[in-house]
Amino acid sequence: MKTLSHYIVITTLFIGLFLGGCDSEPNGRDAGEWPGRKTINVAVFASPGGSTDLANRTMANVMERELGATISVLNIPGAQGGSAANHVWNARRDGHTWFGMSEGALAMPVFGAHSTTSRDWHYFLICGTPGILSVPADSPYHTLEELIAAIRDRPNQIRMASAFPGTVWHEQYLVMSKAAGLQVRWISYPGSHPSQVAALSGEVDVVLTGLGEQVELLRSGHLRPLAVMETEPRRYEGIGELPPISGPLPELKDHFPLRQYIGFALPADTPAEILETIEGAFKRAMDSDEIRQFGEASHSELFGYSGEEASALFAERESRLTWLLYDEQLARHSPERYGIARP
Amino acid sequence: MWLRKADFITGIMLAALGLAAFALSLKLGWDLSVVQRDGWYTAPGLVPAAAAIVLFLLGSALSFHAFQEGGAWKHEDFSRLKAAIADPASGRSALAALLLMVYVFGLLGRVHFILASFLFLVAFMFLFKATAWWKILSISAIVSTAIGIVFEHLARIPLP
Amino acid sequence: MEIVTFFKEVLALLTPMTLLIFAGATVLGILVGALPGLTATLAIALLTGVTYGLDTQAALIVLLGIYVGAIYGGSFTAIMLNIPGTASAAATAMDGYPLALKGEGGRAKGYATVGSLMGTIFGLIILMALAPWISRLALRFTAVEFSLLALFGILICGSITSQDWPIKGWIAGVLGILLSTVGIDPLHGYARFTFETPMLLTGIALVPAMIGVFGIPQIIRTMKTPDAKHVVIAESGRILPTWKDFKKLIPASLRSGAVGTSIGAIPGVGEDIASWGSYGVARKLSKHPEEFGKGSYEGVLAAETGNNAAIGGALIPLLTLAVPGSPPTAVLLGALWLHGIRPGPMLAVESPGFIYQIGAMLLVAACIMSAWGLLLTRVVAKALSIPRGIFMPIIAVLCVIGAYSLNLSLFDVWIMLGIGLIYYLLTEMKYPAAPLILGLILGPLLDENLRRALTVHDGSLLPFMTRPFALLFLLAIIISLGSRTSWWKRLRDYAFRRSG
Repeated sequence: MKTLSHYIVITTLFIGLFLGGCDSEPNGRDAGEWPGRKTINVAVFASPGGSTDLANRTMANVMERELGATISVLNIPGAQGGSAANHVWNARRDGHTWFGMSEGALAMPVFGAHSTTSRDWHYFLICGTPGILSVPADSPYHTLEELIAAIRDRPNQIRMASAFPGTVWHEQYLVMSKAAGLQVRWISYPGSHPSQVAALSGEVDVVLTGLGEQVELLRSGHLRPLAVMETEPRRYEGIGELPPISGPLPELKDHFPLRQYIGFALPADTPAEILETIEGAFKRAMDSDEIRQFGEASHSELFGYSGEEASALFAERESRLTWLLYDEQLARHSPERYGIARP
Repeated sequence: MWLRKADFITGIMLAALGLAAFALSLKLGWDLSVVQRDGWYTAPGLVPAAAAIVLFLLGSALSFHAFQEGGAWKHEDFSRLKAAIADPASGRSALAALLLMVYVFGLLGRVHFILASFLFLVAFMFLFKATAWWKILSISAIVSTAIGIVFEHLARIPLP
Repeated sequence: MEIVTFFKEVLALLTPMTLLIFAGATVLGILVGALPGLTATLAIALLTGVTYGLDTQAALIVLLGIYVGAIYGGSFTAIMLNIPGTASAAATAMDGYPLALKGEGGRAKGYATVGSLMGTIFGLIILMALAPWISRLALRFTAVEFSLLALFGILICGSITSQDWPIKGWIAGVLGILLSTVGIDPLHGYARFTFETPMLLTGIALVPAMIGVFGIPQIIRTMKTPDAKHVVIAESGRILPTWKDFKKLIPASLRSGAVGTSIGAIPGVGEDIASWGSYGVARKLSKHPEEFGKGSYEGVLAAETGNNAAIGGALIPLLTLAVPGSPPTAVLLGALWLHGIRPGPMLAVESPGFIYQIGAMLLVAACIMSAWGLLLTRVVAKALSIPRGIFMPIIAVLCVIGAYSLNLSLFDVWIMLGIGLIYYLLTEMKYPAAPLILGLILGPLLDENLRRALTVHDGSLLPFMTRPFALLFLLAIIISLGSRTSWWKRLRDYAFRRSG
């Protein structure tokens, strides 16, 4: 008797304390109407704290208001996005489980991580940050031309850091090395921050990551930007004008812009009226102050693509990315196996 | 004595595992184009292969030393082993392990987490005669729903 | 001048409302930390969304309070149940649980609390005083140093076992390394040991494996004996160490603080390794190394001081370089962004007071955490006096949900139980659990960095000997292997020496 009462006391205490720390359930709508009272889960394929996670968390906050539903963001990193994709794909098609992802998810089938392709998903693309090619402050290279001359002079000797295969920065590097014949010694890091640390510590000579992650180091002068991974020059506050990578490498004009697209996706066979409701809320959310502020804070371009527009964009990108990875022998399976045509 | 006899066997098994892992790691990406360019020492199989060799050596060493300290199996050991397995203590630990397996491999994923946990708790407490039946039922109900609520609604983790 | 700013910030925090937020946040952190499977990273990520609507100060208090609380909270279950609530408390269980078995769990908890308090304070002092300097030093760590650090840690595996031959510790450590290589290789995206099974691509996650090797054997072992006696011998009496004992431990805790903060400041290495590093150093330098692993207060203090000191350390690269020093700080970086704070080299220029504000918050959070800790120790000790037949199945349910909640994957639960059952047999043969976890933590560090170092340096082994930090680690490795007599003989004696 005594032990039981102990337990009840402790259990209640436990629940009470947790209740104190968390917010209460927001009111749902009528039972018949989507989204109803059930919580929407966004399964993000990357670790918490990264750009895909942040964009989805911000979007979830705005969408909660637009849809009148509870949205909670979960991180299921691992298997190059396959774990999260699998979780979402196996869930009921009731529109309550979303897949937080970026264009990197397009590499999943050829890596053997998940068998779905861009045809299987309905995408909502929020934003992306441009890639910046930088060198440490004490580097001998002051312009893009000097760096390229050095790379051509000593092939495979200049070390360049970027995130692992499947990310947009690795893709940009691959295109650069293949289309423009720039032979650098590419070193793989688990993300943008570790790549930048490698540049600061002198482990590598060049780093290629996103502006959003690099900006503070650029503003403080720890890193010196040499180029923006675009086809037109860009001007950024506190950094100045950056020349495009395609300036001295005109070959790249056929392949660039290769942009980062962060967003979320639902299985394409989700009921159409649910997808329409989400589309409407998504368009309104893209115009909200919060998303605009997020774009500024993370130095990202806002896209707001969805539906046909996003699908066409991703199908084209998928074909280029998967064949590139396959030709470099980084992919396990041929894109053909999934019906992805060569570009 | 039992410990050394067990060590003798485990040592052999670990050494075999090491060899198997080594054989598998010889097929791990030594021929990737990146690896061809940067050198064999960057291959994905490098560290697994090294760890497998070390495991093989450690397992062999363990077996060898256990043998020296009386780890060899004699004929009468097998009948003594049977007696040890029939011991009630082994039965109790086997029961606990079995209950866990039924819960994890059998119930979870088929029925809702709260129900699965309730069934597991009730079965476990009954079989180990923890307390009176009404206490078992109420504790199991309270605990399984409380854990369910805490995780599903407060920690926002969708349950299986 | 800075000290004045700091105390002004502390005073500004001492309002009833902020103290209430502190109290709520730290106790929530402690609970999350104590529950196996819920980690500091998860808690901060979860609360980031909730604190979005709060003003920046309140949000920071919540997040830092959770962080400090969660790193400390893991010690409850580590000491009382031998199931570390977080990976960073695995080293705490080494000595905490033997103490609890002796009926000194309350005092062990007292030492853990004092250690966590001192560690947090040590970390925040270093953060405020030496941040720019430390961050420059931490940048000396490249792939070469990381791989040697990992190698050094793996050698410790043999020395943290105490029950039987040290070789069993190494076997467990190597098994951990092998298990850690399952899944997609982080460098080339190559699938290893996955046998064409999609579920194995994710690899063996640390937290489910940890719950498995610590929790499952504990449950089965406890149920083996029939009597319904209590799991932990409940005791009353003094929790806090006496002033006399405490004075003796000050040098040791300063040392642990220094180790923990420095390891925390290295980008990519977090509280998990900090507690082990601090534990290992304490053992090497202790006057009573033979007590380690059997119930040494020094060991508990070292591990808990180390992991909490790593908080201040991990914040150093975060605030000065915008580079997270540990997984929880990675989430913290995101949360700061959402509140319009951009950590990085410009932070000190644009808002010079911010670092002191963080320091003040950590100080208050640490004090409130200790108060909660002492209060909860008695409650928890009471809760543990439940008969084992009721208590153990509940622990089993918590193990299951803990393994599941990290990746929402039933596969992780299967891994947890599978590894746990195998490990039950291994613990019966006196294999220690901790080295397997250490192997799982250090395996990826070694694998990734060794190959990266060789790529960067074109396969040359020279940098392993010419870089100052690398040379230091190399010497440490050689010394710990010993080269006085025939090193082979010494190694053999070491691997099979009888302990106690």
